[in-house]
Order: sequence, then C-alpha cells, then structure tokens
Amino acid sequence: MSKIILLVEDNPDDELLTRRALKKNNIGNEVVVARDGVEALDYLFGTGAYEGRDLSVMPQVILLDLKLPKLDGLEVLRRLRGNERTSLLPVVILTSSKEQQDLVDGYGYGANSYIRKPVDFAQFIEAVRQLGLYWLVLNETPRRGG
Amino acid sequence: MHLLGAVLGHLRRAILAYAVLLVALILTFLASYYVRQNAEASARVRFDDTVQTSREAMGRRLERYVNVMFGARGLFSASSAVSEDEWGGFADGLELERRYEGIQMLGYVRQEGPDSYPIAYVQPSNKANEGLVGYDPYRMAADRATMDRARDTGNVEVTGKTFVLSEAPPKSLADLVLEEGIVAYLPMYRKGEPHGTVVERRRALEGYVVAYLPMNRALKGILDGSYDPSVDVEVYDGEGFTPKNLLYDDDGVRRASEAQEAAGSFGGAVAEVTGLPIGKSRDPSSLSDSVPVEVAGREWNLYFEALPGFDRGANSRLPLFVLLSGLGVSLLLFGITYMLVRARLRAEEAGLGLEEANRELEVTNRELEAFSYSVSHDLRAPLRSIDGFSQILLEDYADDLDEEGRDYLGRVRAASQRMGRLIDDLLGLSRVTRGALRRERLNLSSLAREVADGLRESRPDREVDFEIEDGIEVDGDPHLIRVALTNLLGNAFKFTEKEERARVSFGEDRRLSELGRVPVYYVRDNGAGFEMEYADKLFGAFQRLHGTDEFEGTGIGLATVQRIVHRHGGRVWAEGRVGHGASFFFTLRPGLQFDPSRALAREGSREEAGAR
Repeated sequence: MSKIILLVEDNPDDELLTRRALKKNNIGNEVVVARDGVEALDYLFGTGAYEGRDLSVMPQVILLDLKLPKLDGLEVLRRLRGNERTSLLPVVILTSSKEQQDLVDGYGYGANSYIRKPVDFAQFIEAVRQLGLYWLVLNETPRRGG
Repeated sequence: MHLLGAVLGHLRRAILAYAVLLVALILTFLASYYVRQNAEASARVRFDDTVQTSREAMGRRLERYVNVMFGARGLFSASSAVSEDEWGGFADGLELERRYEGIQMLGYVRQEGPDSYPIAYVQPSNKANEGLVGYDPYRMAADRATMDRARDTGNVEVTGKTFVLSEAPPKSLADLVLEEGIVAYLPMYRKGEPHGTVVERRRALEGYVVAYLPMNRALKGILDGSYDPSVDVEVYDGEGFTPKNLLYDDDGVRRASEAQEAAGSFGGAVAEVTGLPIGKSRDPSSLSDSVPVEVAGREWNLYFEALPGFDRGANSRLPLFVLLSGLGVSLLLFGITYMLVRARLRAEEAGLGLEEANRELEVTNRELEAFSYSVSHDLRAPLRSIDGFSQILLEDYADDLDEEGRDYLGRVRAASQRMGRLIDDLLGLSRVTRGALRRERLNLSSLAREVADGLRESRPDREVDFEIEDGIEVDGDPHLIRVALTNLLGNAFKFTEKEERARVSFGEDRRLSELGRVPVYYVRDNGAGFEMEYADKLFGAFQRLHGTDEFEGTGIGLATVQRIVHRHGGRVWAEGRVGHGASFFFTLRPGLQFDPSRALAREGSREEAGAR
C-alpha cells in the first residue's frame, strides 16, 4: 500500500522543488498537494472538495508550510492535533522562516520536526533525504485501534 | 466655567501645598496671639508695678511735708513763745527752700479771737509769702472748714483744690502768680491743756501750722524714682476727673477725662468745656488705672495711664516679629511643598509620557518583528527558486550548455546563496538589538571553548591552535554573548585560513584591564590582519576590508558584535597589521577609563616603530 505524503504548500516553485527533492532521494510515494490550510483540512477530514473521500487512507507524513493563504500552518496544525482522527499524524514543518518563535510555536502545537528550507538547493535535497528516511522508512505510525 | 474648572483642578493637585500653608498660617497666628497675650500680660504687670511704686512715692512725698509741719508744731511745744526770728531759724535749719521745694509757704496762724486766725509768721520769707502776713484764711469758707476739721481731729487736714500765691518764675512779666494747690493745716493746742476729746481740743486750740502746697511742685517728679517714665500720672481731688479738681498732671496732657469720655460716662462736654490739650491718638487697649487714696482727710483719685512709649519694651515687637517670621516661614513651606508637588506631578506626567512612548516602542517592535518575519520568509522563497532551478538546469541540461553557460549558472547559484546568507545575517543583527537584555553569570571560557569546538567541527580539514584562558566569568546575556563570541572567534578562524600554523587565542588583557579599571577581553589571531587606517570601519554593517574572493563573509558579523557589546554598556575596538594578525578587544561593562580610539593610535605608532 502506497504511503501518501500530504504536501501543504502554496508556492508552485517550492512544490516543484520539493517533488524533485523527493524524486532525487528515490522517494516515490504518492504526493497529495494542498494549496492552502483550508484545502489541507478538507482533505484530512473529507470535507469540501474532498467530500466522501475514503478517510481510512491517511497520509504517512504531512509536510506543512507555515505561511499559507486562508488558514496558516500553525492553525492547521492546531486543528489537526485537536481532532482524534488526525492527532497522531506525523507533521513536519517545512518553512523558510528561521524565527525562533515559529519554532517554539511549531513544537508547542505538536509538530514532529521542523525543517528550514535552505536557499541552497543541495542542502534542501539533503534535508528531504533525511526526512524521508526517518518518517517514511524508519518511523512506524501507531495503528489506530481496530 | 472653564476657569473655575482649571482653578479647582489646580487646587486638587496642589492640595497638599495648600494644606501645609493653612496649617502653617494657623500655627503662626496662634503663636503670634500667645506671644501678644504674653507681652500684654507682662506689660500689665510692669504697669501695675509702676502704679504701686508711684502710689508709694506719693505717700512718702506727702509724708515729708506733714513731718515738716509736725516739726514746726514741735518747735512751739518746746518753747514758751516762738519769735519770728526763731521761726525763721527753724526754717533755715530745715533748709526749707532747698529741701522742700514743694512747700511754697510754711506759716504759723495764731488765734486772735473766736473767728480770727490771721497768719503770723511765714517762711521762707519772700515777696509772695510776706504779703500773707496778717491774712486771715478763716474767713474763706474752704479754709475754715478745713481748719475746723483739723481742730477737731487734731491731725493734718488739707483743703480741696485751691490757688496758692507764689513768686513768678524767672523771666515772667508778673511778680506773683497763683498756682493750683492745696493748703494743709495742723492744729496747735495750748501747753498743759488736755486735748483728748473734740470739746477739749476746741477749748485748747491755740493756732495752726499752715503749709501752702502748690501741687505741681509738691508732687513733681514722684515718678522719677520709679523705673518707667512712660506712665502719666494725674491726681484729682475727690471723685470725677474734671479740670476743676485736677490737682496734678505729670505731663500736662489730661488723659483721665478723655478716657472717661471714651468710656462714655462723661461725654464730650467736659473736653469741650475744659479746652485743655487732648491726646491725639488713643489706643483703646492701652493700660490705665485709677486708684483712690486717702490724703489728710480728703479722698484723692490717682489716674495712671501708660504712654505710647510704655509698651515699646524689650518684647513689644515680639508679636509682630513672630507674625512676620511665621508668615515668611509659612510661605516658604508652601513654596517648597508646592514645588515638590509640582515636581511629583511632572514626574508622573513624564512617567505617563514614558509609558506612552514604551507602548509605541512595543508596537514598533512588533511591527519590526512582523517585517523581519516577512523578510525572512518571503525574500528567501524566490531565492530558493533561483538556486533550485539553476541547480536543476545544471543537472538535467548540462549537456545542452557549454562550459561558459554552466559557469554563469554557477554564479547565479552562488549569488542567490550569498543573498540568503545576507538575509540571515541582517535578521541576526536586528534580532540582537531587539528584546530585553537578560544578564546572568556566564563562564566566558567554556562558552569560547564550545564555539571553538563548533568551528573545528565545521572544518575538519583545518588545523587551528585555540588557546583559551580558563576561568573567565562575566555578567551578560547568554544568547547574545554566544553570538558575539561566535562572530569574533569565527572571524579569527576564517582569517587564519591561509596561515600554516593558525593560532587563535582568547583571554583577559591584564594590562589594559588595570589601565581601564574594567576587565578587557581579547580575541587574537595570527591571520591576515588589516590596515590600522581602516580600524574604525571594521564595525560598520557591510564593511569589508577583504574581497569576497579572498575571504567569504557578509560584513555584518562585527557590526553585530559591536551592537551586542554596546548593549552591555561595553566598548569594542581592534588592532592589527596586514599580515601580522588582528586583535579584537572588548569590555562588557560601562566605565572604561581610557579612550580606545586613542590607545589604538598609540599602539599603532608603537608597533610601527617596532616594525622599523
């Protein structure tokens, strides 16, 4: 069963670069892209455009940008953690922000890790490699009862 | 309405000052009142003393005249018959004129018949007196009553106010004048005849010793012996202070009747009738007293009044002094309190202003924060695209590009990465300035060691000798100090890259510490160094003394160090020589006792001298 990666990213360039970084690291998982916070929540809760989606299929990892239209990343994270269905999903914050406060808030709302998107693409590829290795290969998400 | 509000507001704010003024004024008036009471009481006591003394002095004075009359009677008792010469001898012996100036005439009245009592002898003999010889006072009603009374009592009796003939004073036109005075009679009884009862005395009467006493002379200067001349005394015969019965007035200004007029008992008629000089001003609170005295069968009234000069005693100005100095002190206290209150109000207003400024600063800081966030986030996103897609081009389309094209793409990537670092460093610089400074005890030595370890790990290929002094402790913000050390040691690490034996040392410069009275720390390297000429430019943002191709860097590191040091109240400066390494000195406390820029110039010239 293919492990889905949910990429929440509004910048198409970043989306493309992330996809390439994943590909470069031979991570061939299906990538679902949400353009903003609301779309991300719709996907996860099967609402709006994703009405009737099979909710037994949940992403293996969520790559969450912080600066998003409509609903920002931290708010998405807060709602995820507040819902029983999604409270245990691994969330990796992927952002250009280096602000200390974002880091603190991110972990405070229950982010699993925090990756700063470096300007240097080579470094980004390396970061994504480590991320994929950990969250897609090594980490086993606890199975929901039943 | 607006004005009223302003006044009320002013009163409300300065209520303390006005309360102080009110209390001080009340105390002043109380003190002044009590001092005045005290002064008045003591004046009263002095006045009463003066009255008493004067009364006694007058009693003594009259007693002397009476004694002279008794002495004269003694002369007749001692001798069977007294001749005119003997009478004159007696008067001479008494030195009557000199010692008894108040007696105008001392005479002997002989009973010639049942109703005949002519004056037989007079002394001192002068023109006024000699004319009296043969004159029969018994024919005058007033004298007769007195003579009869004296005869019956056997004692000295005096008439009421009458006129006494005396010689005119020198330079007077008239020869003789009539002076206001009294006449005193002392009866003499025939020797050997009993005179125990009135009947016996009437039968035994032989004559009288008579004395004419002009009051102005008789009582003159009775107050001279007492201590206060500022008291007027007037003597009245009988009751009622009228000119008719005024016997004596010390200063010639009648005051008793005036006092009575003021009191309303006699009314203005008296003063009108008398036409006597009247005191110009009258202080109703001034001291006066009238005392009745019994004088040789008549009742006299003595009237005393304190003259305006009386209460100009030692403490008469005290109440005024107390009042004025009290007012002065009250105003002073008010002024001081008012200024204090105003200073406090101003401080409070300033405090409010400061709070306002602080709030604005907070808002500005938050805006700056938001701005930095945007810069950090949004400015980097396009750079990532530039770098990322350049990389993709290089990877996927390398074959379609020639060497030059690939070089250009490499430059695009290098530039975008450099811009990314610049953004990061600028954010770091601004972060150093924001937020509160948190001072705590830090071990600078172990912090430096951690930074050095980090640097070594980042470039395992390099061999750098770190010499770090042990046990250096400072008070400072741990995060900021770490940033500063990272920059300083990082610079030293970077600029020694081309040295064969790279050495970086950190410690405290004891000599400079002693000179500056504040611990001075240094980071020294044996790297590329710099020209002292540009030493002051080192710490400006984006100032670089080396080309990017030589040593990489954004030129923000030392600016950041300077900000951190300044935030701690310290100073930072540098010494160096091209090719001979650089030393960076810094303090983390205010109070450096020398000017680093001057010390720097000195060091520079010394080293130059050494180099030659």
